[in-house]
Amino acid sequence: MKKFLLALVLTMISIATSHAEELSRPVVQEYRLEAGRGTALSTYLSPLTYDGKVFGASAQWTKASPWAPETLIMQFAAKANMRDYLNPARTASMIGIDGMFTWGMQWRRRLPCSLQVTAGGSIDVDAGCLYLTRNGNNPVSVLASASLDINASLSWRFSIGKIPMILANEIRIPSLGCFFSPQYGETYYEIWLGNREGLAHCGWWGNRFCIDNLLSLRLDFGRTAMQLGYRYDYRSSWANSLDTRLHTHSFVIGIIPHGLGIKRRARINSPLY
Amino acid sequence: MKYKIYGMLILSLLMTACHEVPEYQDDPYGNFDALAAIVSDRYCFFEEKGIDWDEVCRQYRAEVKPDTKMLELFDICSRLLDELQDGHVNLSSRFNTSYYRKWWSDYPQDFNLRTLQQYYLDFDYMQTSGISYKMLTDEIGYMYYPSFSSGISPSSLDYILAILHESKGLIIDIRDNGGGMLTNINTLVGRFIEENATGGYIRHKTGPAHNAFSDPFPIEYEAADPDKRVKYLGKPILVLTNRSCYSAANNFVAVMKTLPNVRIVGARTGGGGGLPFSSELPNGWSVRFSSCPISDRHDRSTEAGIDPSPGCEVHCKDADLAAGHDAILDFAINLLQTAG
Repeated sequence: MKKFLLALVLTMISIATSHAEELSRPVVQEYRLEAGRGTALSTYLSPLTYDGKVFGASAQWTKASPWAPETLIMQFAAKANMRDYLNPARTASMIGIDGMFTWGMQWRRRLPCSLQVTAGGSIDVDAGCLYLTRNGNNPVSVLASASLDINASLSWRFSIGKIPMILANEIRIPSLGCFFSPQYGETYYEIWLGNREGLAHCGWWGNRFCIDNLLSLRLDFGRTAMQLGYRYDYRSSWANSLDTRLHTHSFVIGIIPHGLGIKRRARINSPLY
Repeated sequence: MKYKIYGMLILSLLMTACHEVPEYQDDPYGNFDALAAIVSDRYCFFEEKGIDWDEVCRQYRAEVKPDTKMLELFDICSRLLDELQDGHVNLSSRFNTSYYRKWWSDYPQDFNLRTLQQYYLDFDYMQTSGISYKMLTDEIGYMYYPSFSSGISPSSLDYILAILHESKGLIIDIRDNGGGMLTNINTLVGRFIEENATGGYIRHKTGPAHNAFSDPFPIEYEAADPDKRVKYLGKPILVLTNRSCYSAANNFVAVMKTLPNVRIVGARTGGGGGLPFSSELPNGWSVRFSSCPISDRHDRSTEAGIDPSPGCEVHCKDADLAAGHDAILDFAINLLQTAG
């Protein structure tokens, strides 16, 4: 009987201790500014490929999930871009604005050598437009889509001197979804009149291929962290005999309030490592 | 083997996303070929006008040489576009804009603004929202709307129609109106119809083939709410036209002609029944062309213009206009005076 009671007490202590040691799951907030160059082709507007500057702002909130904090992480991200392009002859300008929201979950696996790999899915909603200032009845190409994405990342935690760092490559590829495209020669006047046939399309890699890749280095200074990176963003669609292609190469600089917790030796369950 | 099949299947699916977009060099041949291809893919009246575009392009391309200068190339391209005989077609560069003028220059003008203002309006008329108006006599209301590019304020139109409301007939003079915004047609027509009405149809290209068009989509005109807006119903309306009525003005005439109390007086309109699209060449020149055909309520093309109502074709002699006599307006006034 004594042995049984002893075992019961030990078990309870063990459970109580394990609860006491459950790590907090902070939200890693990342706020970034992006600047770069890119090209844009929308054959609804012009057969020519424009090129120019792209500026963006993005934010990302990542957290270990409450259900399986060691293996599941949640992520919400938002991004906005402003585009300013010129045609090859520099006689016309095209401006663009777009925004995107994604929410997703990723399975993660911590590997030896401070490596972490994640893979998962997300839902994303994109909306924006390209505006070609010289066009009359076809001045705007609307960019709008909603899709299920595949995403993955590989990160490596290391230090240089006293600064802990995380080198990561994050990739997101929209797969199935829907997107908007006007008919080949349809004006927005006709859409305004009510002819909305054939404007929404099921999207998959065969008619809409996009890739968003961010290679970044996060430097943990303790109370705050910094992110430097390079983003390659490619979006394309093909519908109603209309081609749309946007390539963007951006330099990324960001801030992570409260840091990554590595330098502070915080006992946390970070989604990043 | 199984993996090879899967691999080929995935590859073939991905390949459908890869489309060659033709690229043209910024040289005389490249720019000419780009123009020819843009128009071939997107222009909408090849079949209606019986134009063999490929043959036309072959003829003009023979004039292009590797060392063709910019001005020469512009001239060749302009003459190529003139073959479309379409006032909605322009080639624009920083030094010139091509324009097919024969749709009006080969016809009598049938209008003189000075004559109208001096001899009929006595330089004394009211003006708002781009519309000049007055009571011509105690019985006849008159409004002159020279451009559909001038936005019509609904409340301004309320005042105009309220002031002209006592007339027993209304003259809407749109001579020399070269078009503008189609939405202004809705604003105007809504005051002259009791119920919503289909005024015409619009189509668009569904692909590069010359005969690839969508089904006609009806253009509905919404009757203005009589409790909120001033309307002009149940009285005769005459719309005065000449050859220089084009594009949106042409569409307006096509719609008004179908109304029971409306007659079209004057000359056949200039046409312009295709809503234009824009594109551009590698050297930065822009090109505009008809792309979406608009037909009338009976789905007949309006590209060649709208005829006056039976018995209402009238022309003005230049000498008479210079002497202060506007035969079209005189005919309209007489028609309204004798109508009741």
